[in-house]
Amino acid sequence: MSTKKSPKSLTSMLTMFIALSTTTAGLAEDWPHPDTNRLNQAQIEKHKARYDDPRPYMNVIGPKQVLPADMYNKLSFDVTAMQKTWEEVVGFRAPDLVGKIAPEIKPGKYTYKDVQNNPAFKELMWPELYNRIRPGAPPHAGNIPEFEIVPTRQYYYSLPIAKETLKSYKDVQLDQDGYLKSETYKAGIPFPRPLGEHKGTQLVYNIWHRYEGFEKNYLMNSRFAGFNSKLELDFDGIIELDSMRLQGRCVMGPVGYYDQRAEANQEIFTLYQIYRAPRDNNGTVISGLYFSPGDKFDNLLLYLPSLRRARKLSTTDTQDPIGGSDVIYDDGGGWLTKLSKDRYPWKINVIEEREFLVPAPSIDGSEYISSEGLELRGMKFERRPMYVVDMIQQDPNYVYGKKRLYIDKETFNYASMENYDQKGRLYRTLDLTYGFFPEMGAFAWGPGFYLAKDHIDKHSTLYQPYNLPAYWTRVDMGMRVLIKKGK
Amino acid sequence: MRKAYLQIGALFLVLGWATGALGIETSLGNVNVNSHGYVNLGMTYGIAGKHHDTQEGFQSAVFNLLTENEFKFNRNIKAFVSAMLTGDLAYPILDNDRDWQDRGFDDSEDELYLDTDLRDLLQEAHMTWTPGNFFLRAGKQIVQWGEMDVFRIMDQINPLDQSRGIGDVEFETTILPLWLVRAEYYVPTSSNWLNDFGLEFVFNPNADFRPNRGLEIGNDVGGIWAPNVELGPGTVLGSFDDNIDEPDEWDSEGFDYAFRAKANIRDSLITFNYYYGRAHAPVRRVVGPPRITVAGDGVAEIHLPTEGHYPRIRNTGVTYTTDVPWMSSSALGGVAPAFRIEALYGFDTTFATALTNRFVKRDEFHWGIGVDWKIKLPILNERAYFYITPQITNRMIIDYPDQEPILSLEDDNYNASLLINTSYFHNKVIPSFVWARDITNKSDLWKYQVTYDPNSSWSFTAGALLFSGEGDGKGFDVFDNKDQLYANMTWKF
Repeated sequence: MSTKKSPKSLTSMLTMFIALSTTTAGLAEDWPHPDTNRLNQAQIEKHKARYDDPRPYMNVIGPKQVLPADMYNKLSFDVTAMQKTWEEVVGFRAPDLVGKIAPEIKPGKYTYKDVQNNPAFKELMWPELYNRIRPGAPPHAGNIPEFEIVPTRQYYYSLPIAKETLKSYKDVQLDQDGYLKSETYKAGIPFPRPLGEHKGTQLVYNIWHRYEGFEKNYLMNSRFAGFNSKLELDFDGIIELDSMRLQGRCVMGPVGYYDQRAEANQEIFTLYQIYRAPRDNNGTVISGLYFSPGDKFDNLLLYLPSLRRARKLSTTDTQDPIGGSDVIYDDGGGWLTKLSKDRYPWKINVIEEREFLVPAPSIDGSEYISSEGLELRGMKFERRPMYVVDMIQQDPNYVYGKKRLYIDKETFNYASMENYDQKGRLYRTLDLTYGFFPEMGAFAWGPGFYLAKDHIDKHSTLYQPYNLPAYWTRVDMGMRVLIKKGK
Repeated sequence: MRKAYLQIGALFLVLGWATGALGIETSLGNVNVNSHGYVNLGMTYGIAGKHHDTQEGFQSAVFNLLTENEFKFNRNIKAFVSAMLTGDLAYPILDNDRDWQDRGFDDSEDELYLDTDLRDLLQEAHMTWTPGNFFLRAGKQIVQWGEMDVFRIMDQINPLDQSRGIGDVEFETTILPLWLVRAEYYVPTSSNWLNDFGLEFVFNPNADFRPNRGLEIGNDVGGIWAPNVELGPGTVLGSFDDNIDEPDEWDSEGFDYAFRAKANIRDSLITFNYYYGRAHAPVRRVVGPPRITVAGDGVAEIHLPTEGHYPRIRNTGVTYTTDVPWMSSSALGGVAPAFRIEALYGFDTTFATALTNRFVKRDEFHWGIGVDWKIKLPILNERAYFYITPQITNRMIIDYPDQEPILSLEDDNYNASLLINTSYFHNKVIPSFVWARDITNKSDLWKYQVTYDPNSSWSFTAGALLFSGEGDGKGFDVFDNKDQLYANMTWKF
């Protein structure tokens, strides 16, 4: 048997592959490929060091500075129009709903001593947040020893999101048990004016269909660090996380579903996450395809660099912490918990509606972490109208017996999540401070912080994300990304 | 020259200290650079007593210095280079040890003290180009197929390095990179049920023919991991006087071709595979009278003169991976098992016969099933899951030549394995257990281990590796005297 293969035939095969890929590369019209705008962690940290750096780095490497001008312009809208339209969506402006509780607490600078000496602050903050207003000290990172209260702002989403919400929300329905009929949802915030028996569930669906992260079309770099109960660094990582929205697209077209496949399968978004550090995780890639219906399991693939193989992850493995962090899969990326009547069903109620004093979204990225005590410094606080929502788990075998969410009434982003175990002990908390880009009407993961705490193991994980809007296509996602991006 | 390599080792240490756990992430002009590495030292202590094929007490101190570097030129082009220095400090430490010399382990120093060949120092070196749906990687690389761990069925593109033993089931440092060209194309799909579909082609131009390494018979070649094959009282099989034919570099006789179609269909991963290439282990037959030597401990070693070659292999196979959500139980933590199935049909595989000293060709069917499962057992661990991974494999020789049995293989050969681990103290302490069973030959490997990871820079491991067999020189029985305790320390950067 002849075993010789002529170089010509091999060349022909390669040429065919290249030609096929060139014609089917699927680069989107009008949007530059996101990787052309990506900065690596070292480049980001030239403008914002890991610790003790108050530089407002969003004024230097924010979307306006990094994105091509025409892309940035496409994502920016008239601020007045956005404010007016969003008020029409939710029916109010947040500044009009606050100032009723402890009105004597005015904008200005405060320290933890002011907070401890004035009981009004205890009334204005939920207990876990109140307990963080102190100097940095074990067992957890993320204490806030001083802050500035700023006047309450009106927050809003971009014009396309607001308009799609207004157009679609009246068609969105829940079934008789309070679960979303996913075929009735097209785009926008599904329940901008929650009410009725299933108000709490409506708010949770607003979180599930949220638009933070530039409507979930983004690229992200994040350093994340784990600290033990002595505040010693025990996990030091870097991840890249890229997300593509498949359902409910408003800003980056096409509006609604990305394609026919997304609509047929009820795909809501897809993303992948790559570890760049530490060494043992370097080159690990997780690819996820997420579906809107609560009873449809997501599709997860994992590339393990130590095995050089792609593995199928069990789609039911949602209660374990992700990669050494203090965040379980169901809380990953802010929220991945599905509402299902058959699998770990929740009973959801709004238990309170009132104003709270909360960390404000960051506009310029001047907030920072102190090396001493791992405090969050340069923080701004503002009064916000909030919902307090309790989710009671009906299955005694789930890792959590209860979740408590503090949800902003105007934006439907949650500021804090408290998870209690089945014995009623506070187990894990998640506190998010977002970035806000006023001219874009967009919330993002950076330049804020993502603080996860384990109150039983006394451990913290602190993320410092950097986020940019990104137009991804199917070519950039799925199984192929495991091979392209993995080690 | 050895001094130079130890100086290289010192450089690794400095580099690691300087960069800390994050390694280096920087830019050189427009090129993004991401660097990592580790320094690892592992020691073993033989506990099986005094035997010809083992060193009682301290017996190895294997170290690895690894650096890995990715250079990203733009969004479609990157390069990856890794280098590793491996050695065993037992050789200088035990150089004057009488037992070590009597057993002939010192004669394996040239082979196992320091891996200083360029092919060993340079691990991977490849360029990758990924425009759109296309992927092309050329250079020295690792390509892993198949779904089984511990046992290899479909995974046959790269050879294995087991010269430092078989107890380490972390594959990354045991797979030998090869100079390959790998191309993949992902077909755009708008199907509702087909999430991804890709075609993969791998070509080995035989730039540097590389067979499996390690587990060689004879203390003078295989060191402390040389299998023990007893031929009679006080007599063992020694190293072969080999004359094994290898394909010449760049000779088409050494070309390998591998083709795979892979699909992500709903919740499943499926691949169809075809491989045509050279086996990584030779077939041998005896071609003359033996040579007999007597080791310093009085054991006679029979050295057989052999000839052989690396035969052609041709096979086709399929893998299937899926999880079964309806099998999840909330009482056990709610995680459904994921199944991995692999099956391969080999055409005219070449085997050596045991008694008639011939090469014969037979078809074979080789399959394996593995399960990955996580369960919650609060009584044993309130916070973390237990990972449980059982596997079973079977290798069936079609039309087995009963009159002239095949060396080391029955007509139907079963193996099984079980891996269990969990974690405590927020993933700091990880106990694990591995059991591998050669069902056909009734022999076992047992590995008990605890790992302590205080942070992402340091890792400490201690454990015991035990073997048992029927005393018939089959399966794991050849390692029956290699029971050992071990400890590892790794510093990562």
